[in-house]
Amino acid sequence: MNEAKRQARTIPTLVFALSQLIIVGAAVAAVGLSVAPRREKVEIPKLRETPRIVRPVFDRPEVVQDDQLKRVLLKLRPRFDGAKTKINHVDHAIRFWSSEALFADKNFPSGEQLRQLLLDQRVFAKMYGKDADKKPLLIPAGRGVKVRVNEGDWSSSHVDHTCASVAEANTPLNYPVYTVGGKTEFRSLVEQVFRDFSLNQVEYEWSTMVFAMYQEEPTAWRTSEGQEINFDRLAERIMRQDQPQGVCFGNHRLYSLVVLLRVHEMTPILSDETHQRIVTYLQDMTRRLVASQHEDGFWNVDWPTAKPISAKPQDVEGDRLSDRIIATGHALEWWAMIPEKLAPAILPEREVIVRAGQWVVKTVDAMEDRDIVRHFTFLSHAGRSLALWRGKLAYEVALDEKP
Amino acid sequence: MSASLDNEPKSAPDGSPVITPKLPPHYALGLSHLGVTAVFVVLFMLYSFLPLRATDLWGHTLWGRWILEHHQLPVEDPYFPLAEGMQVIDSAWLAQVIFGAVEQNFGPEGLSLLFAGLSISAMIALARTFYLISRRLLPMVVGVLLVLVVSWSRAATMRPECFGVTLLALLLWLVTADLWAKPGDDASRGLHWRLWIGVPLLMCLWANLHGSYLIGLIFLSCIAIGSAIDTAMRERSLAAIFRDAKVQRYAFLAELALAATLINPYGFQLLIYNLTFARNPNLTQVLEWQPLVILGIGGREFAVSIVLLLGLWRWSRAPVTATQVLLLALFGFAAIQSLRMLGWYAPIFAWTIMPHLSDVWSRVRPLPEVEPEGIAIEGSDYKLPPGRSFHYTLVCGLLIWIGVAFSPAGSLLLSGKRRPDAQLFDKISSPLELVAHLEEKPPQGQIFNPQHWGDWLVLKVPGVRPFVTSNIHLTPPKVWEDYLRISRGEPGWQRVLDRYNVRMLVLDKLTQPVLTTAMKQTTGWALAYEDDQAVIYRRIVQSPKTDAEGAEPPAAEQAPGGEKEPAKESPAGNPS
Repeated sequence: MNEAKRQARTIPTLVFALSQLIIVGAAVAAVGLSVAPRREKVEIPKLRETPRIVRPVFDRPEVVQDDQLKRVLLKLRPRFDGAKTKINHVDHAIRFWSSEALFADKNFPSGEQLRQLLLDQRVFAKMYGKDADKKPLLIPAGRGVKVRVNEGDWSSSHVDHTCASVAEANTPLNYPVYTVGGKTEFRSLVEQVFRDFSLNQVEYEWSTMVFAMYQEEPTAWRTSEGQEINFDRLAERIMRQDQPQGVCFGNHRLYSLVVLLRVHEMTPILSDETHQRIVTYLQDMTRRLVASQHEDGFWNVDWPTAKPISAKPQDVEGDRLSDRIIATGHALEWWAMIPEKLAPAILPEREVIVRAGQWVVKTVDAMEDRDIVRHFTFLSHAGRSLALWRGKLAYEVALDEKP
Repeated sequence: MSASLDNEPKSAPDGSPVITPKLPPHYALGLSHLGVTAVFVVLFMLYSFLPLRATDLWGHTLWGRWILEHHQLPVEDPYFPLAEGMQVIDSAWLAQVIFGAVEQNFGPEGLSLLFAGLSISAMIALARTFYLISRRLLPMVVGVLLVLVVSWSRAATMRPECFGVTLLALLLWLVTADLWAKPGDDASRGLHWRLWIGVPLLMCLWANLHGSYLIGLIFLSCIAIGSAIDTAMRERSLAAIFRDAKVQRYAFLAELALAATLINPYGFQLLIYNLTFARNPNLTQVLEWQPLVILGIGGREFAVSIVLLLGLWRWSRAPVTATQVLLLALFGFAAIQSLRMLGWYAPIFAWTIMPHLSDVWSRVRPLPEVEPEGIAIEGSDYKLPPGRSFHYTLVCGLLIWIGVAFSPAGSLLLSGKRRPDAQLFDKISSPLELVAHLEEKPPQGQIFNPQHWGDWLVLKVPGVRPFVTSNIHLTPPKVWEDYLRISRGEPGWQRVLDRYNVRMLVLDKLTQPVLTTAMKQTTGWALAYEDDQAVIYRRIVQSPKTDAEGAEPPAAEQAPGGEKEPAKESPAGNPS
């Protein structure tokens, strides 16, 4: 067939033009709408307005007696130090004392004051002076708010640590947040955790806790990398690395796993297989801890494999007093939150916990105030764990303070 | 057989019987045909003897096996645990099924045969296409060789893209047969249905075989748009565009082709996936997605093609059409932007220059104005064109037979024998001794491996957990970033290994020299295997226990080869 014959068989100009307008227009519109970068790359799952709070379940006076607990908590009340106040300390303090804490002695900031320092740039600027607005803790980031991490004393020390700590202090999503960009809600921080998360990021323990506390349903969601995330996958990620790798000798990984188990009790978020894997994993951790506990009740960096060689702290990394406080306080903390039903399977014998609790009491009793301030972050876990073993959060313990 | 006796043999005037060929005269071939046949036989032999390069071949083959076994398409990469949860759009599922089926039934040599078959089919289709344009054998062969030379950096590797190349060649043929059809010409017979049925069928098949079907859509669209521009310029009227038969035909054909490509397991989603595929941030670090470098792979060939193009445009009297300019601009730009586009640029380039090559050629060697009269066979009315003989046809057949019989594919087909592994597999991308060791002592847990060996290890070492495979696009960006960091021995690489709990390192001495050297000075790992190509280390102790916070120190804090740096932070992050 030649071109001349074909020319005679063309469709009318108008019909062809209209057909092209419709077909090409529809195709371009469909492709354009699909290809155009989406405003929200991550589809954030439905969130709860208030976080799930994981409360202590045991009350064991043999671990710490009332007067011992009060003594310890009085020494561990939070403090501000003007422009020298470290955000990492504030993070730990809010988590330790919760937002409800109120102290008769006004030298010690309340839980609400701690929270406002973290979530209100105006308070932050008042504390840190004129340079605070140049390096704020909260950074507006598109639709969300990021927290500055690992950039000195005025920044958080770990990825999502601030967000998780404030969440553990029972902060609702609509809690007002002030940044250099203006007013927003705590929701902006929580949603940003979802946006920025990568399954293989260096620190993931606190992100996991934020997800567990605020996700309404255990629905899977996709990260900005395109990876589908569910709680099984998070748990596997937490268990992937050898111990004692991870923050605080790997103990935060264990605490996050326990939080997953506790949230699972409230609403099933784990598959049966993963639930069992976590239980087995924690049993193994307990076995290691039992085997490596020093006769005096403490552990050091070698907790997964070996006993400390000396009762006296050594001047080597991993076996200093601060290292022993880290290892011991954190172990007591995650054990204290084990689901009651799983306690027989995971918790060690009573004496192991008692020895550890009493070692913490003795150690804190013996510490000078300046050492308390210096090691506050580690001690906050130890102090919190003692309160947990009495079935309370720290602020719920009556301290009999002198005003 | 090229000739035979009629049932009732005719007799010569002297009474002796006359052998009259039964086949039509055009089956009688000439010396030039013999030459062309020899070229294609050599090409077939060349493709047949090429060892199988493990770029992504084994990954696709494994996926094919998986699909055949599970009777469904994977929603996640079944062989890549670190990519769990990464959504899969399997744009090459049909090619994978074919690879899987061929490999299961005929082994790797079957894949080699498939490769040679696909490649030579593409070349034959291109040859026919170029012949339809030039009507000359030599320009046709030159065109084919040009495609081969310009695209050699891509053409020597078996991958699903090979299906795409073959289908592009067929599309070029179909379109050329339409555009260059002459009244009464062989090529014009049945064109109507061939085009309207052939193109949609071909595009549908292509969309299921490989994501490169976009090339076909772009090609058809360029013809429609180019024809519109030419018409508008010729008629000096925009309205003329909408009246033009060629514009109408190719506009509808492109749209029909687009509709046909939507017939796939993912529908419209596949189109969007392929359109946005290049946005994947991981690909910027992959050689084939990087811009063309003149002195790098394929660069010289590309430069030569441009020089040739300019020369032909200068000397040709054939018009330079808007379609040609559009196609060359689009595909040339794409090739400059991304090395992998050379494979598509080459046939399009050859197709666009062919009218000009043909024109220049016809001035050097003009065709006879009058078709020479055939030579009659004595005693019959059967005439053979001058220079043609069934003897040549027989020799051509013999050449093809020799080519097939002496190729590895022939050995497989005729005697079931396959080449030794050392000849069948490309040594650089498929280390045989390494996998022999790993088969004997399989790794436990996560391994770190060179990306280009990932698929090969998965194929040969069942249950292996690769760090990365050829599915770079499915690799979570953080994993890919960490892979590069370790692979280059960048500061902090040991801690990254810890984070992934890597139990074994498989290193390629050639491409990972920094890391290979660094490992020699690193404790905590035991040398488990070494040959001239690869080295394996197994983790023997737990990772250093000094990093209480687990945070990786800033990049400057560790240097390649450094065993361990003291932690800069106190255990709680900031000094307390």
